[in-house]
This record gives sequence, structure tokens and C-alpha cells, in this order.
Amino acid sequence: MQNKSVRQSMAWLHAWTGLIFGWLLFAIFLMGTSSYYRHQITLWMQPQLAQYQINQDTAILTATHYLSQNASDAKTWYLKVANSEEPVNKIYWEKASGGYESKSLDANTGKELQLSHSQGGDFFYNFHFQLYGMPVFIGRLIASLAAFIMLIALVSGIITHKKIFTDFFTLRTFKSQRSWLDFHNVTSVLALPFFLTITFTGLAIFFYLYLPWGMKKLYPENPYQYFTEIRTVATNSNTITSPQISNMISTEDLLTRIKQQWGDRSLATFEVKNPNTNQAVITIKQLEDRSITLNQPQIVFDGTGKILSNTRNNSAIATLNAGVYGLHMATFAQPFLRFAFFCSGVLGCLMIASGLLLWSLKRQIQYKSPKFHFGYYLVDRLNIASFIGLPIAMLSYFLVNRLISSPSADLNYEINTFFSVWMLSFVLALFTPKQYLWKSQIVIFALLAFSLPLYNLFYLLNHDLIANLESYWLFLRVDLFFVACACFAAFIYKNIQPIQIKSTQKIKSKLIKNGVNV
Amino acid sequence: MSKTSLNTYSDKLNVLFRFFLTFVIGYVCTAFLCMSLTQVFQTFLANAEAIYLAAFISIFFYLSFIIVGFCFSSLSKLALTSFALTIFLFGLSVGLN
Repeated sequence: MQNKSVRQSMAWLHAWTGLIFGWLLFAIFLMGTSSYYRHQITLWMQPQLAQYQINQDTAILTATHYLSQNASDAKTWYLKVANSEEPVNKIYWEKASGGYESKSLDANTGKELQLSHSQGGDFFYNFHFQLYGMPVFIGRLIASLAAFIMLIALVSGIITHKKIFTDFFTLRTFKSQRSWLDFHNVTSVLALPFFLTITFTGLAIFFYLYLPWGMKKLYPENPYQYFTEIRTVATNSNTITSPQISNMISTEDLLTRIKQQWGDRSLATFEVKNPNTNQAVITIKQLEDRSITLNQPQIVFDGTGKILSNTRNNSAIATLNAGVYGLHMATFAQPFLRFAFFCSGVLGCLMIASGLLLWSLKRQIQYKSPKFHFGYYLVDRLNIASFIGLPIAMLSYFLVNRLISSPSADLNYEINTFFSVWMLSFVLALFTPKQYLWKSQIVIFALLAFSLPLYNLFYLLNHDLIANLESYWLFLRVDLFFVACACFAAFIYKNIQPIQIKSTQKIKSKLIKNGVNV
Repeated sequence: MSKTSLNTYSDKLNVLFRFFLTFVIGYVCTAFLCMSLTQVFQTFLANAEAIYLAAFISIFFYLSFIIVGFCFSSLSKLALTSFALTIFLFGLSVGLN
């Protein structure tokens, strides 16, 4: 590190931070990118839900009836109202004795749903910010550290760049090790604002994990009071006396008043603080949210049905906080912008992959000895297990959903298969000669990606889950992505060889030049 | 020879020490800065806003600390600067409390 220019120092930092966290970052990026369509994935994996016809009035009536019957003395009720993308009522309530309980309800009947134990797209979503199989706190802390490393790699990568515009227009496709550098440059520059935004916002969302002192200092009794205050302005009427039991306005009347205010708009959430008391506060939010700052229209009633003033915290800092969250979640981006975000996420995966491949290849070319180098061997295998093994594991996750319908809550076959296949890919890579590394696993990936839509069609027809093209479209849109993956795999299969051949030739010629027998 | 290879044991120790200075000492500085800023902002902002703004700025500080830390050629200068900054920020956070 000593006596190096700033640019060289940044190149060093970029290379090593990228290498150490690259595989984890790839997994986080891939899972996060898939999460843009997590509801669509969940519907694909729970095809029985796709049959539901949703009427939101009925959904709210049945859910509030269930809560009145089963949680009348709760401190809060929270209902995520069923809609066409998520056709299930999701409720949770804070019990009078403390603690929370949650249920999924049939939106039409209000009965508790015994769904298959598939986590669907939520598995990818949760993995991308808290990993799996470890305490949530630790997982989120690791994901935050990875995001921070990504931010360092991005900034150092920008400083390293001498000719950012020249490089942007230079793409030597599938020629030699320069191709990886060109891929890395082009994919990085193309969606650079997206990478910076998504990484920084991801990091800022979890600031309370790694910088908790402010919260502990200003809210020593309950640090999480911070979240209430950053979202809502304090109302002191509720804190003076304890709530007394009282009748609330009926849900039917409430729905009528909402319609008078908003017309026939789709609703997102229905929240009641202190239900069935004289201090009940009912907050309803609209589903459509085109604001970056999660500022969708909301209406607040008291228990008698009187409209209250808006309790949202609209200060500049609170708006910044909501904007950071909104930019990361991208709920405002529908549908073309969402697809653009998805493509940017894919570019992020390609950027990380090409960077790691470049690191590996560059050092192998610079390595002067014909002796076996365990470090380079391991990096090569980890690259394959990440870049191809992980997508294979994801496809296996989908396939097992169609092959096994498990009623057991104890064993989630889909997640077990996901991790088993991922591990198997790594073990397979460890024992595969270098010249077959890419091709062997790409073939598996392409076959899986191509056969999954076909098997899915057979499965759906066999179980009478589709009646027409409209009902099939809910599954076809995911299947088409699998087909696109298969085509991409075929493209890589065809074009990866020239890079490998030229690189091998270059390594050999370097060794000969150094007087080593090859 | 690779520009990024670490030839000697001493090189490896230097790099390890630099990582320690930038990431660990940088984090300690960030923590003190975050506490100090929270205290300062609390005087004219609501509690929640003060916490968020302090943390937001501190993240940028930590990022800059690491980037600048790797730009220093001299490890001894980096160590001196890092420790001086830590003492200053520690004093600031204690003073503001």
C-alpha cells in the first residue's frame, strides 16, 4: 500500500473489498432483484390463491369480524387488506397482555387459511436483508456490513476509473480477459445511480442496528419509540387517561364514509389503535402510492367515525427517512419503472460477477508458477457456485414447490432443497476440472430453466388451476422469465469458450516466456 | 509482479493495521460523531429527527474516513490522524453530554 497513488490505492481497496464480500453481495443483489416481483412469485408458488376473486369491502368486513371475535381487547389491530396481487387478508394484533399474534385469513369468508408452507417470494425478500438460519439481528448486521462494503467498492471503483466515458463505449465481447473488464465497466456505469441509491438506502434503513446510541440516549426506556415518532406526530390526548371500553363505529358505516371521501379506491391497510375503546383511532391508507416518500393518501377516524387531523410526520427529516425507505422498496415504481429497476438489479449481479471473474483471471495470468494455487482454485469454484449454483438453487426452489406439496410446518422442503442444491453445486464444482466448470453447471441451469415452464403448464392443467389465458398469465409471466434465463444460459454457454481459450493461451505463453515448462 | 500482491510478512501486517485503523477506529470515530451530532441536533430538532439526521451524516463520515484512510501513503501519519480524531470526537461527545 505504501508509495502508491490515490488511484492505485483505490484500485487495491476496490479489488479486495469486492473479493471478500463479492459472493455474499451477489446473493443479496440477486435475491433483492427477485424481490421486486415477490408477490408475483408468491402467487406462482401458491396457485390456489390465484383462484380468489377479491372484494375489498368483504375482505375488511370479514377481517374486522374475526378480530372482534378473537382480539376484542387487543391494543392494536393491523390489517393488510387483500388485493389482486396478494389475495389474502394478513392480520396481526398486539395482545392486551403484550406480544403479537398474526394470522392469514380467507378474504371472502374470514376463516383462517391453512396455506401450503411455501414462503414464495418472501423467502428471497427476507434473505436479501437478513439472510437465513441465524438470528435476525446478526443477519441484518451482516447484510448492512455487506452493503457498506458495496458502497466502498462503488466509490473506490469510480475513483479508480481513468476514462469512464471511453470505457463505457468500449466493449470487447467474448475475446479475452479484457472482456470481463469491459463487461464490468459497462454494467457498472450503465446503472451506477441505481447501485449507489439502492446500496446507500439499504444501509441507511438499518442504521439503528449499527448506530443505536442516539436512540438509546434519547429514548432510554423504549428505543423503538423512535420509529413511532419519525412516522407520526405525537397526539397527547391519548396518553392522559387510560382507554375505557366503548362501542366503535361499525365497519359498514366506516366503509361508507371512506367511499364518500375517496370514491372507489383500493385500500392497502386498515389499522386500529385501542379498538373498542373511547380512544380508538382508525387509520386507513390507499393502495396506490406514486410518491417516493411513502406518502399515499390516508384518512384517520376516531371511534365515533369523526375524521381526525392527519397524524403523519411531515417534517423535512421525517420525509427524508420515508424517502430513503421508499426509494429502496420502490413501491412507487409500477410497472415499467419497476421493470427498469429489476433490469438494473440484474446489471448489478452482472457487475459483481464480472468483477470477481476479472479478479480471478487477472491473477492467474500474473501467476508465474505452474504449481497448483489453492487460493485461485477456491475462488474459481466459489465463483461458479455463486454465479450459476445460486440460480440453479433458486430454480430448484421453484421446482420442488411443484413436485412436493408438504403439509408439514416443521420441514420446509423448498428452502431445504434450495440450500442443499446450492451446497451440491459447490461440491460439484470442487471436483470438476477447470475446462468443464462453466459448461457443466450452465447446462444444468439451462435444462432446469427450460423444463420448469413446461412442467408448470402440465401441473396447472393437471390440477385444473387454469381456465383461460387470463388465469394462465399469472403463471406465464414468471415462466417467461425462466425461458429468458434459459436463453441467456445458452448464450453464455456458446460464448464463454473464447474467453477461456484466449486466457489459457495467455497464461501458457507467459509461463513459457518465464522459462517454465508447461 | 502484481500491483496488488503482498510480498512480505511486514506488508501483510501493514495492510492488516490499515484495515484496523480505517474500519475499526473509523467506526469508533463514527459512533462518537453520531452521539455528538444527536446532542447538537436535539437542541433545535425533535428527538426522532435529531437521531436520524445524525446517523445519516455519520454514515457519510464513515465512508469518507475509509476512503481517505486508504489514500494516506504513510501508515504512521494515518495512525496519528486517526487516533487524534478519535480523541477529539470522544472529547466532543463527553463535553456535549
